Amino acid sequence: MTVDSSRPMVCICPSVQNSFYTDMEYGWKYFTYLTEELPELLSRWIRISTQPKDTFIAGLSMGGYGAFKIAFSYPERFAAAASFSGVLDIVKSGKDNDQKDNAVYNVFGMKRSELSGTQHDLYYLLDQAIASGKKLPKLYSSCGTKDSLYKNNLAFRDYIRQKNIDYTYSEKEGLAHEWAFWDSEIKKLLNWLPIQENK
Amino acid sequence: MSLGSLYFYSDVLHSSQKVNILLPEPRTIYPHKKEDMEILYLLHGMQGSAHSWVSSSSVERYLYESGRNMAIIIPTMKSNFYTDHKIGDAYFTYIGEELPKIIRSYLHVSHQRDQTYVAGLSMGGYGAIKLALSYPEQFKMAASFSGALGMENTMERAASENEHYLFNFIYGSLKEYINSPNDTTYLLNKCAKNSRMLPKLYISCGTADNLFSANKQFAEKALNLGYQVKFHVEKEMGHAWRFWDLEVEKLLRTLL
Repeated sequence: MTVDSSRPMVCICPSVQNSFYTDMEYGWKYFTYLTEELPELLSRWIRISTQPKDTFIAGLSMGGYGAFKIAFSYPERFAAAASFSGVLDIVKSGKDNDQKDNAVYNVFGMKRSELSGTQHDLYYLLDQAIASGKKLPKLYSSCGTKDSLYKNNLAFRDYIRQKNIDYTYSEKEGLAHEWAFWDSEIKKLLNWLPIQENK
Repeated sequence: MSLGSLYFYSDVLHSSQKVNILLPEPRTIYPHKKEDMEILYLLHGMQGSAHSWVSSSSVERYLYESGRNMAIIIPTMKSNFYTDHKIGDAYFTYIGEELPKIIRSYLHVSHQRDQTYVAGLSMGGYGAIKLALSYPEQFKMAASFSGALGMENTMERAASENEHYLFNFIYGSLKEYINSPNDTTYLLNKCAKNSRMLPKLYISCGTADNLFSANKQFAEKALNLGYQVKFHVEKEMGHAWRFWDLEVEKLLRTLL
């Protein structure tokens, strides 16, 4: 956390196991938990703002997918969303996307290749968010150039750049899918977030 | 059963501190509209920490079973007697002034006297009584379980056994303790004389506890001064967690 913050901030780090921040087909409702139950609970316990202008979401890897999934599904709730080394194209994220792969199948009930155009596809969700006419959060995505998800991230970058969205892309030469990258990214993030002065 | 640990820096104690916080469950609060939580400060005894109440009693479950929309704040005090040390750090200022401010800035807790309570065991019973009598306009009720309410006796005995080192740096001499803001009898008198509002007092002790007669005397003094006092005697019970577990369950279910 930066000591230069103009306003105090609370950072919530949930546990979601390997659920892809999704209401699992063969498991528990992690998406509903994160978008309905948890915010309600936190707003009752803790003196946090419930205003979108004060609300941000970010994540790494599966969490990058999760952050964008939640932000694209509820764009009106967030001022900014960020993904670090995110699994941004879930359809093409596996070694063999046409095979039933348990890690993903338990979550989605489908093979990766079948997720295209569904509510689990970030490309689809982004288009839906744009079409809704709602104000979109500022977007940020980043990836290390040595990360196996690098091309996956570049493709999503190119897609966002076609739309007229406030979007920042960043990459780090020589870093892979690792904490050294995420540690430096979270520091950058806290300076990039559109934190508003207290009026 | 929701439990959080808050680590933070205390300016008063110029050190890192921790409190455990018990919170109401989602299923307790969801049926109701949003409102500030009641707040109970729960204090441990000598040598303890924020871990004591949580590990040695079922207070986390009792809070849930009581169905109350309440936050329970459990600080770490070790053996510092909830007192501004004569030579050392200001633990009473920490607990009486700084901690409530910190908790209020983070949590949706009520600022109302009607929803603010303090309870403790042994050294914590002394602390609870001390807090409520020092800030009578802030606490509706104080509960003391086997409280160290005869500190002058304890200090005298310790001095005679040449083991007064603990109290020397906390209180100074017995003379310095008596009629000071650390003296619970003094506070009892002062509060009765000066305060418009008197906190309700719950004082309980087992008959097999060495502190029994000091507790009985304190309760009687309080009654005579016009306090609303409930004095509970537990037969054949000593200075033990079995008792404090029973008492905190009763507190949450029926006494507040």
